[in-house]
Amino acid sequence: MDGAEGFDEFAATRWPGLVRAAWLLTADWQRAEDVAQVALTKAWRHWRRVCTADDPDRYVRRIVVNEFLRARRRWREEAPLTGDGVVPSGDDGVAERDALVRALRRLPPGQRLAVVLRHYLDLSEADAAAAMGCAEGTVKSQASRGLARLRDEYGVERTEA
Amino acid sequence: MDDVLNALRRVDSAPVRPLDTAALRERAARNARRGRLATAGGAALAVAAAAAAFAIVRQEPRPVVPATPLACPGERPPAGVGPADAMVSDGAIEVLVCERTFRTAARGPVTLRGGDPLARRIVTALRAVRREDQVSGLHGCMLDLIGDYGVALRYDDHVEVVTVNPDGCAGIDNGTWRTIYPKVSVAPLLDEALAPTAHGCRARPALAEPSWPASAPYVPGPVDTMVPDGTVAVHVCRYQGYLLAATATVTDSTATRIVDGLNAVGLSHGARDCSNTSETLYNVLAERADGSVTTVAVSHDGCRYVTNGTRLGSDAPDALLDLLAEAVTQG
Repeated sequence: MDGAEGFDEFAATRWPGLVRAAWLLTADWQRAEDVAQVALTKAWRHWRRVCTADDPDRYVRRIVVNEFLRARRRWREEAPLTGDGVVPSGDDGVAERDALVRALRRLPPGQRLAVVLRHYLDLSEADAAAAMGCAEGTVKSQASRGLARLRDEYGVERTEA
Repeated sequence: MDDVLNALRRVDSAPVRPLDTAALRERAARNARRGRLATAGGAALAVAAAAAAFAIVRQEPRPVVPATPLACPGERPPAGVGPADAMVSDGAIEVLVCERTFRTAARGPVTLRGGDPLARRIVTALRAVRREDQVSGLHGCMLDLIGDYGVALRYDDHVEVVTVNPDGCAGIDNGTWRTIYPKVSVAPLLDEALAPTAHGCRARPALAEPSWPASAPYVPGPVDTMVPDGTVAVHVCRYQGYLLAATATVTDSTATRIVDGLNAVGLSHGARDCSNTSETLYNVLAERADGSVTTVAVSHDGCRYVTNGTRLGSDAPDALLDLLAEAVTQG
């Protein structure tokens, strides 16, 4: 997997998943693409280290999360998003994804992050804690509360849709 | 597994535009070299790499609806388009608003980019309109005799057309269904969109790929059709991301210096490597005595270019950017 060809193959296959994960974090498709691209750019800069890591996927997912947290600080200083995030179309799941991202938007940032890390990216509590910079217990409680609230919010969105 | 977890899993079916990985690598390397030349610090490297990375996916053409300009809707929306309740308040949507009176365009069209807060408010308001009942017939509305608004909305893969009637027969019509409302919350927003703005600065200009073929001979000056002689006013609009941040109109020596500065910029065949949303961009409208207007976009903040829509220069000089900043400060 070493070298440019290895990176190209890795990036091309992981790209959709990284964008979708970033979309759940940012609730904005363009920002998700930005986050995923910057993450892969950083992965390429340190590709030798990434490709020889025990779990390159976990490594890059961590970059995505870190880039999201870094970019979020920058976005706070810019004009906030006043509307809803882009919802990718193309199949019958548009309404469902729209409802999901709207519901996610209503979660506090910590809960949203914990839910996405644990239940979409399937990070362990330890890895999620490392990514969030908090204790594993915090991840557990945030993910649990976040998922409960997400169920409520998602139900409301689906009812209104 | 419950609904929410299922929904999270099904996010994996969301379509994603492909990534040009080779372009990403090349751009990162090039900007890393630039960063090393420009500064010994790592921050610029990261900024340059990030700015370059932004553009790689954005260069992908929209998949189904090409870059054809949105047209004002005709007399009625075409039958068969999707209902407005399928609209999503999309950050990248393009909204075109036209006012029609007696079938003649009265005001507009005005194009709003997705980052324009007004575009989002319009889409959100349209989305909030619920189809209550399938209403057939005109219900006493004489559509030919009243003014209405036509709204076209471009998404990544399709275009929605909606008619909004604010007078006499308030309603929203997308061709397949019609909703009659005594008051339509969308209409004031459309009116706001059509209200006079600072000389066309409502929408951030699109960053089209230059159509100038690489095999064409070098042509100096992105604004070679813009001569200082006879220029009576220069309108400068500054965007931060998609948002219009400041406008100014200058007519004194600053206007002449801006036009001279634009004329001094050389052109290249460099590909666009700019994010549509992240950097500062100036839109410069030079108005001549005869009323004709030349529009030029100038960008900086990690993505420096000058474009007149058909050709693109890769470097916007500091002096020109300073002049534009000075103009909007004065304004």
